[in-house]
Amino acid sequence: MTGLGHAVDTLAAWLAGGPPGWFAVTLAVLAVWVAPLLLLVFPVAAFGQILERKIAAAIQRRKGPNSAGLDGPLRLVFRAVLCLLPRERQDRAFAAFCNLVPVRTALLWSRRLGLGQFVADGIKMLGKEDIVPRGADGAVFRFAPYLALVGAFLPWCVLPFAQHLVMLETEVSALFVLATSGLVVVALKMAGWGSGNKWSLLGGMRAVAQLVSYEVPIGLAVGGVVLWCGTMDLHAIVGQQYAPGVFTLLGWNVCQGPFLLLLLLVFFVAGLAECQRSPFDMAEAESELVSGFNTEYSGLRWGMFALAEYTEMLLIGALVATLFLGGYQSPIGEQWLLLLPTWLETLLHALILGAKTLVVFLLMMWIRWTLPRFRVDQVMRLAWLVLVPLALLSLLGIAVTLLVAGGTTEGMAYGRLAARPRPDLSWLPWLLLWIVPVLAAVVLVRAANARYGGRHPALRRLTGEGA
Amino acid sequence: MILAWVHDVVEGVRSCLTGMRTTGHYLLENLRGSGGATAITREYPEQPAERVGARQRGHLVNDAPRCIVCHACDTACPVDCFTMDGERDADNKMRASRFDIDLSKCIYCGLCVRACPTDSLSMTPAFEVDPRHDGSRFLFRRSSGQLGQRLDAPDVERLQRLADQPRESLAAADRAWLDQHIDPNGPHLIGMYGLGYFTPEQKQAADAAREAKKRAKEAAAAAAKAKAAAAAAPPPAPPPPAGGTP
Ligand code: SF4
Ligand code: SF4
Repeated sequence: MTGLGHAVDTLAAWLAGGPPGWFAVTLAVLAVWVAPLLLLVFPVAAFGQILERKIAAAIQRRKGPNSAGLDGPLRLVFRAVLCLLPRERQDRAFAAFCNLVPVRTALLWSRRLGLGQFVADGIKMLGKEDIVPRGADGAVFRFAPYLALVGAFLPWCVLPFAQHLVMLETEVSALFVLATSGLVVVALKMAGWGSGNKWSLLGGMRAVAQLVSYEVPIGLAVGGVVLWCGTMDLHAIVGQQYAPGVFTLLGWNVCQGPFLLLLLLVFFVAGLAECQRSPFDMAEAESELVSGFNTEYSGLRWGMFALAEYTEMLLIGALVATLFLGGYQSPIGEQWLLLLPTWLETLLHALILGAKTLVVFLLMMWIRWTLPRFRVDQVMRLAWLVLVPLALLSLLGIAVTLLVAGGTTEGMAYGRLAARPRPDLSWLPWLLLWIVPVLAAVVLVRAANARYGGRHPALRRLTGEGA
Repeated sequence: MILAWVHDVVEGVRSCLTGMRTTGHYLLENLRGSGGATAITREYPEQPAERVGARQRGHLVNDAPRCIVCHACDTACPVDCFTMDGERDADNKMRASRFDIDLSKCIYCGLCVRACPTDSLSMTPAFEVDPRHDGSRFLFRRSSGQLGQRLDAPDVERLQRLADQPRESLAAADRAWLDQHIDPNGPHLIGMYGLGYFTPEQKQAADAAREAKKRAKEAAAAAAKAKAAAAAAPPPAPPPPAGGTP
């Protein structure tokens, strides 16, 4: 099943010409796992940055990057390939190529969409001086960005991209994700402390306080899914969400009652806070802390933090998809997708996961460019007084459902592990599961509205009305 | 208490959704290309620029014959854009022999225009500079009949363009247009490198010659002064040796 794990073994054995030693294994892991992952995530994160700038512009009713096209990078490629020819010949070849109608149209569009922007940004970042402030704790300061990148990249190892495309199958992959993404906290703290700068230190402190707080609702949300599916293996969780028939969609965790839907919301909001995005960008808070933990960073080190942020956003998107939205499964007709040849199925699955991730990613951007930043106390309040109680409530609801429903079904045996059972609800209990809590919620909200009127309690306190 | 909490959460979610509805509306509008600043944004270098208004502060132009080389603009300028030299003309009036405005330094504050006592310095709405130009070429000689004529942005642009070339190389129509707008007599065009110089070498040579002349004049003056001093010195010189030892 694990094509990639097998590939590592084969390559290592081939490299060593016999039973592989640690060096051959490291090389093989680098070649088979790390390099493709980097090659995949770097461009995607870079593309995410452009997308973000375009979306931000659209929301703010402007145009966004619209001049940097791909013609510049293409010219560099031409120069590199034709480096033996004289300069004018290179240029003439380039001009001839660019004048082909489809190429010209594509290049024009790449300009209009600002696609060359990330190349320009990357070159700019490469060209910047790498400054370590005099008061900085050099080693800590230098090491922090790498750690942030590691924390952002490691969780991808266990993420199922497709049925045969998982780097590392373990039975505890959900725990692995939580544990490794926790490295980012350490990285941010190191960056804040190592910079020897008060803004950075404050940003680092805030980052730690925020990330540690939001680990709790995230952990609870993942715990809820684990409880429901009876497994900690992400791949098995994906397999659990399979439903035969046309509407595979109905098997998704998010459709299994309002409690899991609530958990999805909790997970999403907490995930937003985990990747330090506005409205949770307390740690950067330009208007308060200059740039927070990365005030003193420049050039590529800064770039690594930015990359880690985007990678983490993508990760949250992929996790939302995996835990709640059926992972890489198609919303309709998954069972026919499985009949396709393996390579095509793998490709389609990966694309579907990408599309789901993209949707969550877009939602994150939409939120970022809509909501203003919270205050520090509001962030803490949201975590401890809203998200944690909601998550606990959902956990309770899921536990009760499991107790009452009890019945189980076999999911698809995706991955290395056979899927473990989860409740199989026929349509009546399923409907009840939806209707009862939703009705209860509606009653509660109406009562609250009747009691506190249409106005916000804070506003009422301010105006002294209804005291 | 629970009700207050529920209300708080619901209100929070509702206000978020309200905000997102607004921005989502903008987003869709923008993607459709209608509404917002997107619809009225002009992509400037590709699309022609609009004139902002009559009082737009663009490039400076100096009407050479009116300039009296008083350096008032030079004094007013906060960034030292001006390099000017003057000489006396036939009527013993000062006129500019060189008047360069370094537009790469200019911040278009307009202080120089206010300072100018003869109103020879003025700002035009033109603001585009051909990157090949060094930007110091806005001195045009105009006859007294032409002084009232206002040079508009397109005119200035055309002047700038034509001023880069020697007069002989211009097309007949261009030459006629030039003669209409600036003094047809004498070196009426001051090329982009200064008075009548169309290449940097020409200007360098002229500058060098002027410098040399100045230095020669200074040297001559110094020599004359030394001679005068030498002539004046001997009379007081003798006394000390004479009555130095009483
Ligand atoms: S506009 Fe301002 S900066 Fe420009 S030349 Fe005049 S005084 Fe100097
Ligand atoms: S202030 Fe006017 S008159 Fe005086 S030197 Fe400047 S441009 Fe000439």
